Amino acid sequence: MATELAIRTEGLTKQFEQHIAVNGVELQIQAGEVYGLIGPNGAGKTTLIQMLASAEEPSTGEIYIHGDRLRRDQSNSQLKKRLGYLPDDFPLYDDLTVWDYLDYFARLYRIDRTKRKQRLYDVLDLVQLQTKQNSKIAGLSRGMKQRLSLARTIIHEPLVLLLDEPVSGLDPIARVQFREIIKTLQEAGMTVLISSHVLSDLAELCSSVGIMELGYLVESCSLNSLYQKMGKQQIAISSLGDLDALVAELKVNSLVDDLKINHETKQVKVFFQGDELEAADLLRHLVSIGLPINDFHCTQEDLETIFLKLGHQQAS
Amino acid sequence: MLNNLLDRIGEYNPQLMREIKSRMSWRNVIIMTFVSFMAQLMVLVSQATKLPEMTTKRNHYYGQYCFYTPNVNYSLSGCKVDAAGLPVIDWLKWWNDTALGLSAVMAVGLIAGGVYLLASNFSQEERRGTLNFIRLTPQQASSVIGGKILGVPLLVYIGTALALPLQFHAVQQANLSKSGILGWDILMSSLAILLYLGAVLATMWFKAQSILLAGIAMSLSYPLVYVSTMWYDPSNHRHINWYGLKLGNGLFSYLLLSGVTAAGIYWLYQALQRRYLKPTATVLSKKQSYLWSAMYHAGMAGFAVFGLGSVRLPLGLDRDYMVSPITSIFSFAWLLLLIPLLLPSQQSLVEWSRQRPVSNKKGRSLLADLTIHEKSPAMLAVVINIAIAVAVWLPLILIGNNGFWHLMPKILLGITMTTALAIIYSTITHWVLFWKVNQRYAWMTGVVGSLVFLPVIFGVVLSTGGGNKHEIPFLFSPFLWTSLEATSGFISLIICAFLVCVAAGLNLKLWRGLNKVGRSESFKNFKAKSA
Repeated sequence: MATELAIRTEGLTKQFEQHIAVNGVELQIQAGEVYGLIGPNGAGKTTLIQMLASAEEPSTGEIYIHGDRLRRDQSNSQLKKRLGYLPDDFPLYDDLTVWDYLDYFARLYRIDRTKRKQRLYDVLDLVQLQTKQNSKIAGLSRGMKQRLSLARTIIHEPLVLLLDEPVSGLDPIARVQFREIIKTLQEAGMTVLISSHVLSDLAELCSSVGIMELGYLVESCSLNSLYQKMGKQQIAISSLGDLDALVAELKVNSLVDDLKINHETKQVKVFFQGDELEAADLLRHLVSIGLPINDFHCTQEDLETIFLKLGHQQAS
Repeated sequence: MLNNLLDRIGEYNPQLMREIKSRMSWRNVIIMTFVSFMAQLMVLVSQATKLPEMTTKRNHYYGQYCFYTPNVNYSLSGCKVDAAGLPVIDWLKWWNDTALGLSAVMAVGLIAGGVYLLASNFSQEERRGTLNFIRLTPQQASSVIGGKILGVPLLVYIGTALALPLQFHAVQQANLSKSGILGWDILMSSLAILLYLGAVLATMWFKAQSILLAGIAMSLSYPLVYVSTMWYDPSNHRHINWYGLKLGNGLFSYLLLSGVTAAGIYWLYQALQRRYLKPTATVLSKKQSYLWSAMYHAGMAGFAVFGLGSVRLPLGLDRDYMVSPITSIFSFAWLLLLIPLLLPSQQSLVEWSRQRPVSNKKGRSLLADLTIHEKSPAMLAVVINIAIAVAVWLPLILIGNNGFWHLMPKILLGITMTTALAIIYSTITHWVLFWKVNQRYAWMTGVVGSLVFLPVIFGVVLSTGGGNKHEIPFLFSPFLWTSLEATSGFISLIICAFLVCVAAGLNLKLWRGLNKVGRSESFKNFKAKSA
């Protein structure tokens, strides 16, 4: 069964004077996916997200949200309710309290008055700001402000969530909290497009990724297929005995691509072409010839390594 | 109770609720109450100082609110006094002037205060990027803009409302019509809304400074308030003619002023809504400008028509009556205003030129593009707007002034020269868009401003020494109508031909430039896609 497309763009282009920020992007994101957008600074990620949020008008091209054409005028109030957009600078009103701010946006999004109060409590609970609901926004920490902005973005239960660098400038604990919230939102069925330079976060959250460079979307695929296509399987092997014997044995194995030896930890990192069964065969063989193997585990190349390996040339 | 009220307001207009919550505090209300009562006190004190005073020299009372005893020797005359020897004061007149003075202070305070607060609020929201979030919500532009206009100057409204009891008391004491003052207050409120919308538009359009806008609004509101007080001041016998109708103190004048204000509010709101929804859009669409021009010129023509068969010649050729040069200046000021209102952004022009071949293939003609399309250059639209002005004015001139048929060639020459000048100015603004400079709009104003005023300054400087007016420099400026009649037909024709050639040359160059930009952009995209 074909899954519905939450976001579809056709030839999406944005030009600022002589500079083409986004060039003919054809993007397709399935409903319910968490899609990570990566690329160096200036690659066009923010402009693409702004156009998807209808905060910026495309020079040419079309955007469809759940099959409906997105236009930047007054004709699409229903479509606007389906979108939630969190920019990287998240400006807020310092003079309002947390509750008043969310109540104001809940009303702007025309949330029914019978459900509004409960929705505010739910959202405050989700972003863990219940204790701060009567505090002035001016007095919140950066992490709290970031979470409040996210609360504002999801107050109307959008179907599509567009997050531009949502974890930039956050400390590790705030980042973990933020990741957990995104996971909850995904479980609630939202489609999430997230751009970030923290690729480890994206690897944990995303089901698909797109790579942008010089305004083009140069890669767009599921994370699994990217790992399969670009990521090499690695096996970390440690021995209590002589490393040279282990290395000599590995070098004659036809499935071993390359080796990295660490004498201090007595560990060899093997770039292995085979699958899991062949890895098991290798382990059995090493043990059978009497090598004192005390650690043997498979790892996958991380997203950052794959991204760097793709060799895109644009400087940040 | 207040919370319930706020909640209800928030159901109807969330923006208004947000603005009220942000501003309504006891501290703010107390400060505004103090300011309002101080202003009222100052008006009363200022009026009190004008009451008759005893002159020590002659032992008489003098002052502007006296009933004077008739005396052949003026220097010996003084205020009429009662049995107790105190002057009899014309309280009716005193309260009349107090009512007028207080009304003027209220109106100017309302306008200047509101303009400042609204302009600074919008510029702050734009600068911080918070307005973008509101734009992304499903709220209509009217709800957001309306909420801000009602809510941001809330304290100014409170301060003005606190002066209403004194205003009504003064009106009652002066025996002025109560419905009259009510109507005047409504008119002033509409005028304030008109200027509020103008200020917000200026802030969103060219990021004008709020304090500057408040200053402009204040200086604009003084003459407007002065003219408006004529309506409910029974002692006023001045009037302005409009299509043969006398506009002075009367219901019709009030209705007409209200109509003009309402039309102004409508058009400003249209422009504001366009900029709110699309910050890169032109302030007016080309179609809107045609309708606006027709309304404007039909309105202005009214000041030149003194009844059937009696039309004063507009465009400055008739110097016997001051309304005509004024309408002429206003007409060109209107044209100069239209040029930036219709100017597309540089990006729009590039996109239009790039997509032009595609539009052509789809069957959209170049003419349709230039007259209607929002991203196309605006020169033809400016010409159409001039044609609308001519269509309104020319029949009036010819029907109403049989003696002016002999001036027809010069009138046509003047129209051609005006059109050429407008095209030159408009084309130059399009050119400046492509300059690699900061503050393009400042450059535009500078260059076009120089072209408008330098010939006039030159003409005035030449004329000051010799005694005779040197007419020729004026023919290179929008003030050409003041000199056209006195210049020989041959020289006028030469200058007209020169201006037409310059306009054509500039347009040809701009056209080639746009084609080149469009082609190179298409080529760049094509090359990048095939790479």
